[in-house]
Amino acid sequence: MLRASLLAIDRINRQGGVNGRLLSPICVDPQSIAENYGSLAQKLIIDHGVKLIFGGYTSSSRKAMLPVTGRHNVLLFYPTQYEGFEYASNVIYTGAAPNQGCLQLAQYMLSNIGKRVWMVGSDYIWPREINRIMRDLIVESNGEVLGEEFRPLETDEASLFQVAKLISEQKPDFVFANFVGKSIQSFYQAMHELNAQNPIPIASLTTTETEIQAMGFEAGLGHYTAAPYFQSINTPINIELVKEYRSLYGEDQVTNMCWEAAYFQVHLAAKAAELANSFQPDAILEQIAKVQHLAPQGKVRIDTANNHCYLWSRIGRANDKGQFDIVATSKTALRPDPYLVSYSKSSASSMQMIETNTFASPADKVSL
Amino acid sequence: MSKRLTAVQQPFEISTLVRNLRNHKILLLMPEGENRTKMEQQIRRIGCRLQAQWPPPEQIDSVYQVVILGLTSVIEKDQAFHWDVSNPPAALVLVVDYENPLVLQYSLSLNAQAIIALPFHPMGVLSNLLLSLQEYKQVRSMLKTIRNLELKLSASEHIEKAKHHISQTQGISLEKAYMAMRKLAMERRQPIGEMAKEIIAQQRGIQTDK
Repeated sequence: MLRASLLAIDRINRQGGVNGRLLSPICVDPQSIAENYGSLAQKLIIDHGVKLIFGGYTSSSRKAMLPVTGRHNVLLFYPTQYEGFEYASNVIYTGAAPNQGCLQLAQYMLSNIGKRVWMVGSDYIWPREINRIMRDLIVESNGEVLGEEFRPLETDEASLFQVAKLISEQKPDFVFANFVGKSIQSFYQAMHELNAQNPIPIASLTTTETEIQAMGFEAGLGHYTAAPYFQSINTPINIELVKEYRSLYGEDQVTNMCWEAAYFQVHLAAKAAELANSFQPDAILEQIAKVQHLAPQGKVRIDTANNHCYLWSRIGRANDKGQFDIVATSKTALRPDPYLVSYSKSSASSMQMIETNTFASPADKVSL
Repeated sequence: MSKRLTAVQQPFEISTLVRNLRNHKILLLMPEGENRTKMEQQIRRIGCRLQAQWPPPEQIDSVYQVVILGLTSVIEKDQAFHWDVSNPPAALVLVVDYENPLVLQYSLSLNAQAIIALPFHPMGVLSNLLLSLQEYKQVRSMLKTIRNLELKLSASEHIEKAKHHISQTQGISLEKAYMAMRKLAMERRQPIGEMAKEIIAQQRGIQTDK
C-alpha cells in the first residue's frame, strides 16, 4: 500500500505537482500494531505538521487514528474495505463498503455455484459482520448454512486444517471464507490438500493476488474473490501502472485491491487540493465532491453524503497463473451505502452485474 | 463473540428491529442550525426517513416511530412541548448540551428512552435510535399484556360471582353451574366473562326490584 501511494506521489510530481508544489511524503511504519497508528499519527501531525494522512489497514488501525486526526482536524484517507457503519467528517474511505462487494459475491455464488454453504473466518468484527449479511442473503435465496466457524486472528495451521477437514466431509457447494493474514493461505492449502480431486470453491472478500501468490497458484486455482480491482483488469492505465510498478519493485510483484485504493486516493486528494489551491483539510473536503479520477478500476469519486467512494464491483476467479479471470463486473461504479443494515436481493438496483464469462460448474457438484 | 455475550432472553424481536431500521420514520424537533444539519445528515446516512421542524407541533403525528427533541432548546426558548407520558405516541430521544439538574429533571419527567449529548458526534446516533425503539416497543407490548391481564382478571372475578349465583339459585354444584354458563356462552357466541357480567347485572336488577 505504501509503495502504491509513493507511486502516485511520484507520478503527480513528475507532472508538475499540485499547482506547481511538489508533494513530499513522510513515511512511518506502525508495524501493524494498532496503538502505533495513534501515536505515529500524532507524531506526524505535531513534529512534521502533516495535514493529510494516507493509510491504515485493519479497522483497529483506523480506530486508533480517528481520535488523533479528529482532534487535530487532519484528513485521513483510508484505503481498505471494512464493515461500514462509520462516518467521520475528516475521513475519506476509499475501500469497499459491504454493499459494494459482499452483496454481489453472494448473489453470484448463490445463483451460479450452489446454495449449500459453509462459512468461516477470522474471529473479529469484520468477518462476523460480513457473515451476518451473507447469512441473510443465503436464507433469502432458500439456501442452507451447513456450518459456521471462526478462528482467532493468530491461529495455527492445525486448527485451520481441522476446520477444512470438517467442511470437506460435508461437501458444501461452496465455502464463504473471510480470514485475514496468514490464515488465508493455510486454509486454502488445507482445502487443496483435502479436496485435490473434487475441489470445493471458496468465495472470499479478502483473498487477493498477494495471498494467492503466497499460497501457491494451485491452492488458489478456481476460487472466487469479489473486489473493485484485480491486477488483470485490461485498461490502458492499469497495464501502464502495473508495468511501471514492476519495473520499480521487481517482475514478481503483484498488485491488488488495497494497492489500487492506496494509489488512486492520493490522486483524489491531489486533485481536490489543486482545485482548492490549498492543502488545508477543510478546503480539500470542500472540493472533493467535484473531483473524479480515472483509477485502474475505472472512474471513481467520493460521495460526500457519507465520505465513502463510488466503486466498481467485480467477481474474479483465480486462474493457474495466480491472476483472476474476471467473471462479472458491475454496470457502473456503485454508490457506497455504509449504513445499509439489511441486505436482500432487492437492496440495490444498481448492483446488476454483467457476466463477462460463462463457465461450467465444478464437476463435484454434478457428481454429488 | 456471540458465545461470550448471551442475553438470557430476547424479550423482543431484536433482529427484526435492526433489519427494519430503514422503515422507521423520525421526527426531528430542533431549531435550525449546525447541530440540526449534522443530525439530519447522520440520520439520512443511516437511511431512515426524516422530517425536521421547529417549533414542536401541538400533536405528534402517528406516522413517526421516533421523536428526537432538542430539549435544551425547548427549555431555553421556553417552547411548549406536549408529550403524553402515560401513553407516548413514539419513542423519545432527547438532545442535550447540559446535564444540570434542571435538564435532568425534564429528561426524567418526559420519560425519554435515550439521550444524545452535544457537541454532535455521528457515532451513537444509530445506537440511541435502536435502544429507544426497543425500549419503546417493549414497554408498549408490556402495557398491552398488562391490559389484557387486567381484563382477564376482571372477567374471572365476574365468572366466579355468576357461578356462585347460579349454583345457589338452581341448587346445582359449582362445576355444573360453570358448565351451564360455558354452554350458554358458546351458543350465544359471547365471551364467557361478558356473559357472567350480564348475569350479575341481572341479578342485581332483580334484587333492587324486590
